[in-house]
Amino acid sequence: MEMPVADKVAGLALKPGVDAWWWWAFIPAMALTALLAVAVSWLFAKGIGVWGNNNPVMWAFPIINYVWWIGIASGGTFISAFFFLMKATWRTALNRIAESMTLCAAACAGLYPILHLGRAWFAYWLVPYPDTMGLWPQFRSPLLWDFYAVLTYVISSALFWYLGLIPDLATLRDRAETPGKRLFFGLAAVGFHGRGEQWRHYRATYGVLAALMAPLVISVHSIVGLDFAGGEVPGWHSTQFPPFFVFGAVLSGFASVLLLVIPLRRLLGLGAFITERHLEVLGRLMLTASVCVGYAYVMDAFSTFYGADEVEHRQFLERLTGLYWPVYWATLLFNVFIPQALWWRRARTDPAALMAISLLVVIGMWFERFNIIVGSLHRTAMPSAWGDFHPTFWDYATLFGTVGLFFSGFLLFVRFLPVISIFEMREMQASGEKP
Amino acid sequence: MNLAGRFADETALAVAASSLRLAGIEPLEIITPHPVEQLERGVSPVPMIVLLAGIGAFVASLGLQIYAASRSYPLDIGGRPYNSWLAFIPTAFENGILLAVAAGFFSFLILSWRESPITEAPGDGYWLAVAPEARAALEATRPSAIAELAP
Repeated sequence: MEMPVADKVAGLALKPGVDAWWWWAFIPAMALTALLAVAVSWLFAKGIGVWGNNNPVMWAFPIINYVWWIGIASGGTFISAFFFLMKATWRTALNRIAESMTLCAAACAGLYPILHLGRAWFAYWLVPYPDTMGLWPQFRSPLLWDFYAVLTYVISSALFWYLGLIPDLATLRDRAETPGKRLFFGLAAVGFHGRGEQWRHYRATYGVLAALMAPLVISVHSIVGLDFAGGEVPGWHSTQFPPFFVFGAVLSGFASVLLLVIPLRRLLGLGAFITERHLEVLGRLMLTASVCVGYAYVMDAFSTFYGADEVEHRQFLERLTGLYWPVYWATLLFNVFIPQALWWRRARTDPAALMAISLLVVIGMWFERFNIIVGSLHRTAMPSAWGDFHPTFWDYATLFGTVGLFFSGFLLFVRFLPVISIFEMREMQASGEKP
Repeated sequence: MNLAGRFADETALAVAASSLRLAGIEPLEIITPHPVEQLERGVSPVPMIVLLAGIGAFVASLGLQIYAASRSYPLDIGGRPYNSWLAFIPTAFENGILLAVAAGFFSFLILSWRESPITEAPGDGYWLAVAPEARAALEATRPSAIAELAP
């Protein structure tokens, strides 16, 4: 009894040769990755001065991009871990794509804090190793918490992703026709044969790891929020930041999953498994996250003007009408107003509309972080410390370079690994559920 | 063990497996394309390993931070307490999760890496593998096909 999902998905991973569309996507992605390599080399040769970062806008693009990527990464963990625990059947067809997105996005995010250190070769100072000077990292600082959070997130995401792949790698090993592929998938499948005892440990491990990943993703984005809330900068010093950042992260995460899933299901012919229902569910999730983000924006304004701090008032009005006013209003438009179209079923089931809304949300979430970081830092409490920020070519090269890095990694995954979890689809089909 | 009988679905497999177990057929290996809860026997130790690793790493991390901040290198910052343990919770939490996830992953690899008489996978589907002497018992469970496996 052959099940079509295994034939389809294993066939995609094992077939010889590469489709033309894949090259059309991969070559530009690799070109951007090469640009990233040049930008990083230039940065290491010349120092942070190649960027537009200045005093007072010290964080600028590297931290905007970092928060943006780590937010995008969250979408995959939510789908693979949180909705696994909720036993949502729609998750099965999407979770592999979403998790692979998480892995590539988390890798891009992880680069930025290191690059932003200035002296990246001292990054190991963040680790409490026994040094001759008897010094310790500052464990009370949210910035150090962030290091541990991102380290944990990147490693755990990779292990969870790989654990999910093992049974499918075993399937590919059994179906591979060339010795090279048999060797590759045989090594990757680490001796998994689907024996009863292996499944018993597997099911237990996957369940507890999912139960750990779900609080982990919340903690990572809360700590990213605390990076800001812990600083005494007007516009940052707010207790609502941790949930605010979690909302924003899942909004951009679900939008990014849609941006990848909609073209992939057409290019790879996965329409039988990733159906209109999946797009609709993701549309609903994006709408929910958008409403939460809208609430956070309202509370941001409310708590500012409910308080009596004139610096905070001035800072907020500066956002609405100051140098970067288009960024603030575009943030509201892209993240809150336009996603309201998703209240209509037609918008949730129309791939073109979903693509457009998702793309605007992903851009809008980058704008939101620009707003928080540059918007706040360029007008702090002391007018004598005011300054403007102008990004340089190397800022853009690094940003788009990581976009290339993301797509290079993701396209390699799409070509060589099973894009849908074969064994989970089989389990679902065996219990009579539809994808 | 180099005979494998194939069954139509997990229910047929479960019926055959329990009849072979009742008949005392040893060794008996179940091979399925996905986890089947009703076929599982016993509780996996992985969750307990994960719990212990997580708690252990949390406590160790908290202890290291308290030692660093209040014994090894105490800094007086505006008269705040040296042992400001609340601020150490996030790092301890992340360290606990990291060690728990790693312990779960690697204990799964070690536990499932057992010498098995099956060196060749019979292919997709629901299978019961037995030693060649048990051919009659396997045939009595009426598998839809019987495959010979390499030893």
